[in-house]
Amino acid sequence: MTPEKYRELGLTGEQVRDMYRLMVLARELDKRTWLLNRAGKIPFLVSCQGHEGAQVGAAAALEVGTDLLCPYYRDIAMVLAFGMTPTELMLSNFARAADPNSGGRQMPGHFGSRRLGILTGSSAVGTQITHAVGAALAARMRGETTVVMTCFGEGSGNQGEFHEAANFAGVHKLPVIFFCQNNRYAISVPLEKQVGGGSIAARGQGYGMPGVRVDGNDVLAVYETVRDAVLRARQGEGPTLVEAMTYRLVPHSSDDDDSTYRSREEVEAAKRDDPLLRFGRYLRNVGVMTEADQEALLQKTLAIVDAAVSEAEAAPSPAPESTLEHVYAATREEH
Amino acid sequence: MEIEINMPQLGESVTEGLVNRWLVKPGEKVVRDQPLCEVVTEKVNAEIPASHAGVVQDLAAGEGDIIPVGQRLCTLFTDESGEETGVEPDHSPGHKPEDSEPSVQQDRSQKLRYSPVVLRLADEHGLDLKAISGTGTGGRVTRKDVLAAAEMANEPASESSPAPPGALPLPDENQEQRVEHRTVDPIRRMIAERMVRSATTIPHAWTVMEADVTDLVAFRQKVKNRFFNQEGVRLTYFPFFVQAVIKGLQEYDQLNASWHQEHIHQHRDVHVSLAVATDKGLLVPVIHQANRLSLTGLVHAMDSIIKKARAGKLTPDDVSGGTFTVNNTGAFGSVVSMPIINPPQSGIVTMEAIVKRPVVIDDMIGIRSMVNLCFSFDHRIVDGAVAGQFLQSVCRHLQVMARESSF
Amino acid sequence: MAVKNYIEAITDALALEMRRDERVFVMGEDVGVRGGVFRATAGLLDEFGPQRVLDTPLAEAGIVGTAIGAALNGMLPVAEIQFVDFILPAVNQIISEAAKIRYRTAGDFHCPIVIRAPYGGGVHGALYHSQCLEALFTHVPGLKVVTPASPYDAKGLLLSAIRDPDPVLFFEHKRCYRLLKGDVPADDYTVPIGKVAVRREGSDITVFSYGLMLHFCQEAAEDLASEGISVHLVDLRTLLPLDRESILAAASRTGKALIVHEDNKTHGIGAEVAALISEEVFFDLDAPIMRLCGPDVPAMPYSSPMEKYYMLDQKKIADKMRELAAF
Repeated sequence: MTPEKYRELGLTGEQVRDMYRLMVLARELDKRTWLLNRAGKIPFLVSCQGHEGAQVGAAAALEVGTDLLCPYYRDIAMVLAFGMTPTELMLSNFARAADPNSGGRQMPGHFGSRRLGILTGSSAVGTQITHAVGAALAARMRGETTVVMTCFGEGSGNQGEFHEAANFAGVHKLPVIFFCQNNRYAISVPLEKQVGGGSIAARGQGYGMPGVRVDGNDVLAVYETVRDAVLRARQGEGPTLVEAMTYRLVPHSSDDDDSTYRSREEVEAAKRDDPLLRFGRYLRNVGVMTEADQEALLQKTLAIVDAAVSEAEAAPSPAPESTLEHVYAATREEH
Repeated sequence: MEIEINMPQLGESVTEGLVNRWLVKPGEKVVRDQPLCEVVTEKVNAEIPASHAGVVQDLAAGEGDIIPVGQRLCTLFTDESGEETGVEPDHSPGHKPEDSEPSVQQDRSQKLRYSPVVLRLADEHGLDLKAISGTGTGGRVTRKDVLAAAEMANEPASESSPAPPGALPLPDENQEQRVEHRTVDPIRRMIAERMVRSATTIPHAWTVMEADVTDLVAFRQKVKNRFFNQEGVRLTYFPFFVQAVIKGLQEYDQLNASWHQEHIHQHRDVHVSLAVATDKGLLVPVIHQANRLSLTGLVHAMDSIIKKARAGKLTPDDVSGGTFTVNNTGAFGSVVSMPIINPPQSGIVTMEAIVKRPVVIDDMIGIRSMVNLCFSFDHRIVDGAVAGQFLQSVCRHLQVMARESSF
Repeated sequence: MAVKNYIEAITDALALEMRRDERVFVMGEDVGVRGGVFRATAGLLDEFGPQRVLDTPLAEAGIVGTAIGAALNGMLPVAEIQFVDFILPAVNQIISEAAKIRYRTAGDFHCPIVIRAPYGGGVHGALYHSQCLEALFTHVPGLKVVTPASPYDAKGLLLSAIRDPDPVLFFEHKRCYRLLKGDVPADDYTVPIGKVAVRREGSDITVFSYGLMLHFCQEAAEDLASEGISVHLVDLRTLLPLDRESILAAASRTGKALIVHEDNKTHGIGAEVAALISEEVFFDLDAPIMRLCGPDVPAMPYSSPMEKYYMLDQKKIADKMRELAAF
């Protein structure tokens, strides 16, 4: 990263500080969730640690409020960038009634909010990729400039739905960003056993779209790549496949033990390339933030996380009998 | 081999028959075509013949039992084997080969197997199920059997069944004793069931028109003696009326039709059903292709079928195939009636009594012979406009008939 | 009133609703220039253009997933799966996604898609162009499964399906397409989803059916009427959600219930209808509940004698009706 990089990209100091803020917030929320899980307060989590750079960089290239997101379960920083609040994420972790994602029905990490333009997803990986194509189709039919971003791991890049969606978008030149966050492991299965040819990006060519591989731990590089893809999409030039290379710094989920499939040395080496450390260092180097600024941000963030946990923990659970609700429309008024 | 004798279909729309009297006993040897029993239906009385020579094994129905069409009446044992007679074994479900093997007793094997609804209804109506004869497979007592038994038990406020809790005591015992309990005879019960079915399933619409038959009365007066001398039959007003109806039906053939749920059957010929009062009850014989008969031909046809009906000699053919019913209610002095349709026909017209009345014609009052025609029709088949036009047409024909008839 | 066949009624409904509501569009394999392999979308491309009559790549999960995405973003897609036999690649989208979207978001999102698919046999379609797969989906709360049996219902139910805020699987019996003709009003009308239709009133036995088999039942019931057996015939029309009250009332009416369907017997619609009746109106029953269904073999063979053996017909149904009536 050259010192002037962020300015060359047209970003302001305030914008890059805010990107850093989101990364810190995502990281601290994630770390707290692990503590809550190990303390027996929440039964399950999936982690985003290590992905914050890719997610925040990509989200910064989108227009929140106009563009849509079909996320996957690791997109904590991404949905924070789209406007979800720490309290809302904690309500989801505690499965409270006020959880805007699902009212406590889905596991944590299953994001969805009509208000924020985040389309709901399931645990069946890859299904959301076709939804992004459909949402883009709908936007284009109405003549809107909306771009739809969909995220998935490299494992999901093998699902039929990835291929069907990419092909559909390629045929119809739809405004979709296929954003693969390649962290080299689909739970325990490493990239070389997961992806023929080793590259998800290379698959773009087969579906009539550019496939770009980018360093996912370099926030500004991701921003630049996705910004170009968004520009193409808005100009009607069709979809782009972006493969952001990153690393999951912790186990896949609270139920996983990554020491069974990867060495501690490998994980420690990856931590030295932690996008949060890299971006923090960069911001200090270019003089956008001082160490004291960053320490103050951290303290402020921890207070936000504390408040979110307290509020969510105190919030009521859904009424048991509400289990029977929302199977079908109660009335016909929605149409 | 065993041969089942089943309740035959005695006339269309007949769904069951009442076993009036057995003419044979179990163990009796019978020759082919020998009458086995008398069966009474709402349309005909018939003797059921033996289809084969053999020995009567058992009687599956008691006297007074109502047996659905197709259900077993009795079984004959013949010396012949199935192959020799060329009788097709029955492979329809419920008549599996192994079912026909068991002996007489096993045929009643389901007699004591009661379904949930049968137990519930028997309990609700306080009925003894063993006393009810079953019409189901293996003699099983069906829901319908229980309902029928309950209906019968309800009629003469039964002494045997305890009064339901909270029931009011009868107001006056003497009054109760003044009620005579008359058993419903088979024909009466069949008429009752048929009337209920018609009245509850057909949307009856009703209309009345009057016809001026002064000319017809004069005409009949003039020719009736000559007619009797020539034809040997009395000339009444009824055949004129029937012919007028036939002509009306030919003009408005939508009414010469019958209702079959998904379809309306439109008939080319008019087969007139005549409502005939007999001392045993109402019978409705049919004059087939009445539209092809002259008035004289119609008089003869009506005379002979009515005589046959009163003598109790109607055959199944005589009572089936009617497309429309006419009724001479005027014969017993009625001037207005609301007839009940004979399903699946579209309608029924009555001829009421001919009476002299003062009538205004061209602003003058004259004494005219007038008759009311009352018409009930199935509103599913036609609407009021067509029905009205038809009845007007019948009136018109009746009014001019004297001029057009010649003997 | 115009007499139309079943498939014309489908086209009629699609065109009517596309004119009425700009959010409605059709998508699927060969729906555009070809007008659908059965011609259900014939003429739509000319009237509405390629944006709203969308020929898709041959990939069923993609078709349904894309439809879901469009619905989540405000459209009302009607996706066609060319034969129900090929819906299986899309089952993940239908069951994991469409059926659960309202539930998993506590009502924040809903998924107003219609998936049309021809089904059923008796057309020499062999194993993979003859299947009845409705029972796979009727086990899935959140879906609606509709199987019209007449041109009138085909149009009225399809209009209801498109206007329904929840995902509807609309299964059209392909043998009905040109076999059935009937009065279809040109104007806008709907037939409610979730309501049976009594096709024939009767007093001896109650028969439940749907789709092509309903017609065979109707013919069989007419045969039986001449024998004096009165059949109460109920067209289920919607298989999910079931019209519980009407089913129970119809079963109680005669105390003898028979369910007839072309789909194979085990775990089929008949099992659910039978269970419902025995749970709720046991004390109205006068006979064991009977089922007459396709055989429990994987699918329908191509050979004509084998296909005939597999398929129910008027005679097989009439025989079963007699058996129940006699009980």
